Amino acid sequence: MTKKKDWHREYLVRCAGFGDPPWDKELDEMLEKWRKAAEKLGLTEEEVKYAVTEWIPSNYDIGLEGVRKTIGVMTAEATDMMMATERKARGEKMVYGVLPAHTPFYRAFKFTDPSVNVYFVDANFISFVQPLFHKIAPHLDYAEERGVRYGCRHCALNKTRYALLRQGLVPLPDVSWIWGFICDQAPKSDEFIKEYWNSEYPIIFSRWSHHGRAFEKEYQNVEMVKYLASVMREGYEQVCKVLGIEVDENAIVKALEERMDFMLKYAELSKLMAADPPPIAGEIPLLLAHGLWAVFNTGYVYYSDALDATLKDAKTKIAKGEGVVPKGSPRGMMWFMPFCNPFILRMFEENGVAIPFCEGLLPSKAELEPPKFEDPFEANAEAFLKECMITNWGNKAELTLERLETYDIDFMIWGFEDFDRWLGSDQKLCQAYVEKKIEKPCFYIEGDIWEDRDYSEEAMRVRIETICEVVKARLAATI
Amino acid sequence: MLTFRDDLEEFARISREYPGGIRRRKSEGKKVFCYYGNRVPVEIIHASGAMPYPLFDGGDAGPSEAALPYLLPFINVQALYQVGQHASGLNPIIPIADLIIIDCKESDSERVGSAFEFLELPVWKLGVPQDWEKEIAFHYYKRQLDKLKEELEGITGERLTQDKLVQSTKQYNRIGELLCKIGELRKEHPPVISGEEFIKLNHYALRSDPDAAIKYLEKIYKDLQREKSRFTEGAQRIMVAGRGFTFGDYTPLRIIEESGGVMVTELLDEGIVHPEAVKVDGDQMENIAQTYYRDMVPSCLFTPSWKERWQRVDRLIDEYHVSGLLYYMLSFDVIYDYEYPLFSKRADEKGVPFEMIESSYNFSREATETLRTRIESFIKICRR
Repeated sequence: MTKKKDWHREYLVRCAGFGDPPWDKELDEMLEKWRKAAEKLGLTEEEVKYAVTEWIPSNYDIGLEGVRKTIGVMTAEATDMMMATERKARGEKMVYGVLPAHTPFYRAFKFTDPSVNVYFVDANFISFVQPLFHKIAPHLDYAEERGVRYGCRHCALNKTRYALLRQGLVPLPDVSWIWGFICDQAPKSDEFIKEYWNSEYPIIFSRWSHHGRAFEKEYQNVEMVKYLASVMREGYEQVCKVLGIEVDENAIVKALEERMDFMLKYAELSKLMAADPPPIAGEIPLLLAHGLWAVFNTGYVYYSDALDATLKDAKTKIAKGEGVVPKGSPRGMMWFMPFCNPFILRMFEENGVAIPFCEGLLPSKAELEPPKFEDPFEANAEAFLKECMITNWGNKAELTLERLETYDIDFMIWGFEDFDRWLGSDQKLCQAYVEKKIEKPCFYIEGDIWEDRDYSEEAMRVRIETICEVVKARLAATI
Repeated sequence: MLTFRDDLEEFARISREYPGGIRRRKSEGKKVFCYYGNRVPVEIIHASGAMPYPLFDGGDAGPSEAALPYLLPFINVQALYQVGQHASGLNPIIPIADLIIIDCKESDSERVGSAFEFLELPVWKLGVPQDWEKEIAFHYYKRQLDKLKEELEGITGERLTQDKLVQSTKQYNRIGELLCKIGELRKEHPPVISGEEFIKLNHYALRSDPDAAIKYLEKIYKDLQREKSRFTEGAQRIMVAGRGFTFGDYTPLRIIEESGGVMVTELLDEGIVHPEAVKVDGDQMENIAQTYYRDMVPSCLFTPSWKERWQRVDRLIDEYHVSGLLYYMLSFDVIYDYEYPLFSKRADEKGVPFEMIESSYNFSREATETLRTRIESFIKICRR
């Protein structure tokens, strides 16, 4: 009689890097936690088996240690998040962050008091459960049945946060520090959750009206930086008060430096991705970029290890002349890659086209320069305003041009953010601007980076096949 | 003797001629400043000596489609309309504007500004922090208004003095006061003025020279005091909440009245003259900032706002003896889409019938009849 396979264990070993050193030492402990998390999430053994045998191998190159460990990072964080309720019950402090937040402040809470738990519940949950198990839909449906209408195209992140809270998958935190710098939907979603569902939901709002003019470098606008810094300081101090920790500016400086170090290392991976052919699939660097825009309660130990392993994999592949497509194939960039629906990138690769870059998350040259402002809050405001996701449409378009040149990209795709009044709504302007400036093919695809309930795989395949043909024809014509 | 309806028609004519007047005076060297959003103080624009022109058109599906090369299909339909209207060559003033001032309290309006920037129009983005209860946010808004004032002075070449600001404020205060008094006449049952007429008066006042607006509103207020209601005793007293009715978007209001209801009060953010009087003693820029940022009902986009906004609705329901609350939702207006279920819940708790109607400015026969059925059913529920 053959022994029944333990698919949870298989998942951790075959897909999530816990069979690789040094994580293998934690395997048993992680397996116990993972089982509980999977149960809480409603992931059945059958679903885990399908992920291990079908979904993940067909969408990710799990032969690479870096890929496995990147999946492991997301798995470890989701597992940890599912333990948050127990932690809260034990009296541990908890703060939630929501995009678009600036991560060093959340790291600084942990530097000040390591017992504080910090979760970016929606971003890290959806970035785990959808790309790896294709199972965000029940949570979105849950939110839609409770006041957040499907028909209005609300952001899946906000629906996810609401669903996680209301289903009791995560506890009420001590505080949700919600930013809403540019994005209206995130803070108003929190207000909705409080007013519509639970008046006990504790929120601290930090907001800023985005009124940067086209092409203005907001991070050089002293008044804007100083105002944003004062908003950040006020919010930070309030959160510290709620958590009962001191306002430690050194912790903020340390966190900003940590982010800069991480970004420099990440930039190294970006350079490797410019190789012909690109050594690994584009969503792996994207998942690793989570460390720049979300905070992990599990910290950066798993993260750094995954990034190191990915760098090693990339270098090995480049040395061998191997990649996700044959050498000489067209290479494109997406403003935001639909990483939660990984089959989309596979479709490009099946058509002999690689998408190694997600532009919205690539550090720009300005971001890699040290801050000009010395005050830690002002330095953070400056860093935040440098981000591609934060700046005005004109700067975004200029950054696209900068990256198309830096990485010698053949074509550009915007879209997959049709729900996003913050990030998606200026993409057509950017496209029109970039098209005027360069002779490279530019495309726009309607869709949603987080979910795929609105489009069929086959309809997407037809669109992608067409794009790939156009790109190849255009490149052939320019040779 | 002229009746209310004669004066209303005359006021409509004056308002319709306003854009023509702007174009004429522009050719004589007068400056024109368009503005979009209810946190742009018209008092400052008017005091600068320029001609103010509010952007808030809608009510027709075509122009919104014309915005799609520039904007997402899922931003709210009236924001799309402003861009599409210009792209289709339908707005008479935008092409000659010396400045288009955009209230940046939300992504959608900011994107209207971005699209105008792309189309190489002169745009001024006014920073409006949404956390309106905070002192630092108020001061930032005030500084933004000071900068706007400097910009307007630079364009007109004239100093915007305290006296000019006070004078302008007094005129707009008078407009607000008259509209408030006219609106309050709807406390009578049945009311002497319909919801459609009241909204149109607001629109005419916003798109007229303030002296003309005061003249006609004074006449109309007098007319209404001797006017008899054309509504029956059985007309259902409806309150409408939402972003607002744009210039040209009157069909839903008409259907309410054709279905046996009448809009007697409203909580609308845009397309309506704010009733709060601006103080005229002390620093006038400070007074204006105070009213526009803190005294007006917090915008739906502000945080927090819903508790206070519902308190206002709750009070108006009682004051105006409202029999049903109707939420007017514009397509893909994502933050208002959160407000409506909240209001629905609160209305339920209060025992007031609630209904939401949604518009993409598609008033084809099919769409209109669907809307009519929904409103008729709602009015029937209100009667019970």
